[in-house]
Amino acid sequence: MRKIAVAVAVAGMFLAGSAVAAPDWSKVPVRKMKAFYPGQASLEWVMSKPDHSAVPDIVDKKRPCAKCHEGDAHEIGNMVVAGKPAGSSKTVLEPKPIGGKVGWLPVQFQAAHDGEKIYFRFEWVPPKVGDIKMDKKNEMKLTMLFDGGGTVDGAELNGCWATCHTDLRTMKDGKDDKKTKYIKGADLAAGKFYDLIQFKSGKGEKPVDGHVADKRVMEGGKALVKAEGVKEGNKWVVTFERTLAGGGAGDHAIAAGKVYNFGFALHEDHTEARYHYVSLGYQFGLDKPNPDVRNYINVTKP
Amino acid sequence: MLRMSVLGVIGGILIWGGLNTGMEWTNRSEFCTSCHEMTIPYEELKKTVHYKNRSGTTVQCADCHVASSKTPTDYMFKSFQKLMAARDVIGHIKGTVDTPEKFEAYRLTMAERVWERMKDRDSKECRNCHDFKTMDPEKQKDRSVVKHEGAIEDGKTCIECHKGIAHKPVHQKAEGGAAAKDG
Repeated sequence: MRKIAVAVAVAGMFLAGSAVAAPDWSKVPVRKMKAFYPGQASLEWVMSKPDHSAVPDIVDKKRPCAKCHEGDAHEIGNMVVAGKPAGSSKTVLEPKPIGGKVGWLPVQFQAAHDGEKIYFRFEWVPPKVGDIKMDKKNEMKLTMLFDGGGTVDGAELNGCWATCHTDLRTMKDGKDDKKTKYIKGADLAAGKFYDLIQFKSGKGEKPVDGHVADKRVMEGGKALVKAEGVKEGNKWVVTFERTLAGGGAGDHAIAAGKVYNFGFALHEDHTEARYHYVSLGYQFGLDKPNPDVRNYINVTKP
Repeated sequence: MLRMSVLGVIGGILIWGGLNTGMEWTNRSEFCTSCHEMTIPYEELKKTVHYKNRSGTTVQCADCHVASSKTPTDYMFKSFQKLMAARDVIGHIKGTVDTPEKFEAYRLTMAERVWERMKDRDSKECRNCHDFKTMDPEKQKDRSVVKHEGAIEDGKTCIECHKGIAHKPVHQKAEGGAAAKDG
């Protein structure tokens, strides 16, 4: 009887321990990011010199997108969402502009870890938008993609853009309306994939832990412990809690000493596919400052 | 003997002053645009930030096309340019660009000449006023800061990227495609 009581008490302690999860976010530095509207700006568009004169900077000088565009991402988003070409390009990236849609949203990003799990927090004010409902169930979805620490070619420059191609559904050369994001040369076993975690706001919708390799798979991951989205006043706050170790199919292990390339997408106002706001490519690492790299975030214990 | 010297000195001053005045007289934009062909690029200039902007700083034709007197050796180049400007007079007489259509057809050729000259002089006309060292990165867009750092690293000169900033852009027709705009 006593043994059972002790066992129950110990089990209770463990359970209680797992409920005490979230870090004290007031102690975690905030990184202000801009989620902007990309329209049909695929990786192929980014790497096309007539549209994007900076191609030599990417190819020869290995400049990440954020280096030049963190400052003007909002301007780009505003031009694209209005159906105008951006910069010196002649291509219209949004052939059917959605009335009333804003070009960008400021998002506050925070990340922390406790040695076993990593926590991501996103906060933003949702815009008022129109009445077109592509995804009736989910008013909002937030998705993070991250690689295994330099395991996807080009991810250190373009964040999630390695998955975005002109032949996907809703994109300029999309012919298959079921074709989802993919990486060229994907290799699950060799770590050449993006881990995907997603929060869906719809009632009863479960969070997603999947991956993007030669296509997008919305299941199989075992690392996502919790994804929560709460409206605090006029703001959305979404938090992810994920084990560092990973372990499932399409899960990356997150360990000290590596630099992980990531980005996120915000499907506001019942949107789907490419109609999301996206971040530029950023990086994070555990307990390792990197002051020379502007788009790098050092994740520490708060 | 003394009288000759004095006369000589006064004569020299008058000649030198006359040359200078003539130089500056023909450097005025009013003089350039007295040939009607030149009103075309002048009207284009008026639409750009090099002509009208927040601070009111402005350029004249000669600031970019004849060189200034900012450094001592400029005077030699300036005088040479003035002599070579005889070609413009010949062009005016021949009517090479005396209609808007002819001007358009010849635009790229004229632009390429100017680009080449500017490149040879490491964009001296730009650098008379603009200096990498005195650019305030706080006031520039991120991508401009990054590009200028790259330009310094690669030893690039202003005109390589900043074509089409004072007159109607034509560099998109040139080989190599479009480059950056100003602003």
